[in-house]
Amino acid sequence: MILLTLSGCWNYKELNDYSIVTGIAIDKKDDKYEVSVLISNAPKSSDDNGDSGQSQIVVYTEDGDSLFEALKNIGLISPKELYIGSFTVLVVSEDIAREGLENVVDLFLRYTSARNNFYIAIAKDTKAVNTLKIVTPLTSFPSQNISDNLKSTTDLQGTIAKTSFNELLSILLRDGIDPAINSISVVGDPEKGESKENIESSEPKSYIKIGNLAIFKNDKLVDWTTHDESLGINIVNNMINEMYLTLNYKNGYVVVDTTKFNSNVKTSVENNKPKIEVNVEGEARIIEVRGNINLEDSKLIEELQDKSNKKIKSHVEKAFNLAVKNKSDIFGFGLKFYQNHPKYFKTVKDNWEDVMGEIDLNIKSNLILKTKVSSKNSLEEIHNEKKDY
Amino acid sequence: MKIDNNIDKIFETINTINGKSSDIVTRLIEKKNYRVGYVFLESVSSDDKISDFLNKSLINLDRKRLFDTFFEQVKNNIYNSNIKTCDTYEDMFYYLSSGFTIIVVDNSTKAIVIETRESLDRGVVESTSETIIRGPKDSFTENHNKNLGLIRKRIKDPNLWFEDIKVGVRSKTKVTVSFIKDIVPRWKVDKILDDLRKINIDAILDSGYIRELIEKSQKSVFPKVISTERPDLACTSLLNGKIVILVENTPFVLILPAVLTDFIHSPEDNYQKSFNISFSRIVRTICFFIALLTPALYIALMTYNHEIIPDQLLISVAIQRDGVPFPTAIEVLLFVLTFEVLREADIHSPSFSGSAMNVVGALILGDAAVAAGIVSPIVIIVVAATSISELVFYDVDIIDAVREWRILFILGATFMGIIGFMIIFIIFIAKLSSLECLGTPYLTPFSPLSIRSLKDSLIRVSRKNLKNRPTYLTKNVKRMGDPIEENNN
Repeated sequence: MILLTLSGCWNYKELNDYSIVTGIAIDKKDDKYEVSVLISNAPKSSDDNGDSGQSQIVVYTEDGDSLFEALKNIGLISPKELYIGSFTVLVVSEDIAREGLENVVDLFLRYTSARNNFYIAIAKDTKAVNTLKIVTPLTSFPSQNISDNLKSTTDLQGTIAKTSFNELLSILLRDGIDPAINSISVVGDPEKGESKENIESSEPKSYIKIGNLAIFKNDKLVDWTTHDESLGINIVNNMINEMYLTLNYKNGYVVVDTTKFNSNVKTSVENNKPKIEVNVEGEARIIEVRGNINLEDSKLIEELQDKSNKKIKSHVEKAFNLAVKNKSDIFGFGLKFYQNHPKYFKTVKDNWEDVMGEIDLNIKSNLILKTKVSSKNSLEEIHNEKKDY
Repeated sequence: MKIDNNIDKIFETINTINGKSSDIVTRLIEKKNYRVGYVFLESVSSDDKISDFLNKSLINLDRKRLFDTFFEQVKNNIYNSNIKTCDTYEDMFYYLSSGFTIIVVDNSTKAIVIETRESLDRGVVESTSETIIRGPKDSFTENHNKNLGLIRKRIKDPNLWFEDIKVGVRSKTKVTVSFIKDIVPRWKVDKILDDLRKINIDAILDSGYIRELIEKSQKSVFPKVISTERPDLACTSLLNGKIVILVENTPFVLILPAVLTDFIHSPEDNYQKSFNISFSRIVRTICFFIALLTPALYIALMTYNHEIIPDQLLISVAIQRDGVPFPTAIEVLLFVLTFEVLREADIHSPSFSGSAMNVVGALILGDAAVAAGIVSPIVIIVVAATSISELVFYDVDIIDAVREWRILFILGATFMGIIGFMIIFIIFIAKLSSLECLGTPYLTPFSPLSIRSLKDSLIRVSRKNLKNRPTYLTKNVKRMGDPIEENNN
């Protein structure tokens, strides 16, 4: 009993003695690292007290020879101790990402008070710190804006795949798989986005947009992807819940929206050559039609179905070609071979990035177009029919 | 001291013993051929009864000698159904104080005692401390006989036994142990009677005295005896195989043995649909833990284990706490204490000052304290949730117990965070499991587990499935009658 009380108040810390960090951005400045933290529990100005739960944000930036030094230097500015335990977003600038994420990952792995479930994003065409400064009307602080945006778009957009620190770590630690991380960028003038006016105006002068994936070779950023390539990567990695395909038809177009989307990858080795089969399955429905298209025609539906399957194939092929070009195994094909054909993988492990180009990629897309639920014809078609009478 | 055989001497002795108290009334009736005297205390006796029946019959005593002695003749000519005799002054005073009238005659060492009690009570009224929505509304009163009657009229079974015992050297309070003979094991009754006999105290003024003296073997803030003023709860307990102790001059009877789950029950649980009751009981159980643990958990999370809190909440709480001068623990204790003060004041204040207190409590202490930056709003929410949760309990003793353990939990959390909280929790469970009353462990039917008794614990199954009594109370488990069969008739 005495022993218990002797430990008295070990680890005791009042919550308001902390500055709660919700986002961290890492930039490069000459040879030094520049670390910025977003502190979200700054109390609001006194004229509107009582409005509790709302906060003002503060971004502090300091530089240092190492990341940790820069982070500790922030302590010199901040009146309260930094609380790193619950930050949700880490934004890394492009130059750091090109140099390699290794020391960034290492820091947060060793930093005991940091959680491992924050999201990582790469700042594209802007300084990483700018993304933390943009205040938006819909969320209380920018880091929440970014993490919420990543979460919601991962489900609803095919091109986005959120990457948490844990996922990144497990990808980096394994052979035969390379990470692909979403980029974020600032649209508009970042300086305008910092001020309160950005919240008060109905049309924000500046906002944050989630962009396409950046592909990595080990821990180094090698290339940016386009929309189609991002889609292709996520199709193979089975990261897609919902996506849309725009199919050109005659002089108009048809947009299909997929549901129950699922894909799996089968590996096999034939004549010492790697062979990969990507199976894509799913259902789709027509969601937008433009042009003179008669949807009652079952042949046309089949044609559209073929078209969408071809489109999926082309996305995957594009993504695969990009990966081969950059020698980056973002699909984790190497890992699949390691799991299913360990003996074979051992022989090609050292020059896997070159072998990857020789993979015999076979994509089977089996998307079924369902037409029962939607109106059979486009409005234009109906309009034309009526004219005939 | 034996009674003298002379009326004058008896009157003189009574007056000397009681110091000529003003409420002693003595009267001597002298007729040609006989002398008879009577004495009563006008403060506790009914003048009407004495004048109407006693006085009249003493004056018109039949001259025919049907009986051997004059004493017998007097005794058998009084129009009263409740006639006793006594032969010592001690007994005489007990009867006098109870509202009896003593009739004395010459040449006899005995006195006749007849019942002429004035009923000094407020009658059977609605229970004020234990209100329910549905069900009988009568409650026990300060009148012992009425209390027994309220039970007797509900259970018209010869096996319902009352065993009396007088406790208290000066008060000589009548204590009745009531039980159903074929359900309750005899040794339990003997044990209680034994404990009651061992009580050596000058006065018993309320059942609280008895309860404290019976419970003293194991010290705990948790009540091991249910105290109620509802006859229907007493009868339910009797039928389940519990023992009810009724104490003279108090509306609160004691029911024992009690287990922890009894305190999340309410008497109206028997009068409503089982599904609704199960729901209410689960709510009460949740409230039990909220009332016990919330402030401690809050302190532990706020001062030690921030990483458990979701980040949104963390920030919101951190902003609210900004500028509060006290440590979280002091803040919480301050407000818990404030609520206890309010509650204490509320219980003892007359109803007309209630509204003034509401203003002070709700407006000044709550709103103004936040505005002044003494406490953060979330602490008020925590303390309010805690305080409301503790008030769902029907029994005031369990509220007190929860209140005391809550402070212990707060202290544990204050010094050692979540670890201290868990240590106190382990001690709490260990303490509860060690309690027992009349051989029933306090955590039954959970520990030791009794599946059959679980039917009426946290949940209550429908009555047709509830044909058995709780197994931990009696071996005679089967209830008489079959509700399903009766439905078919």
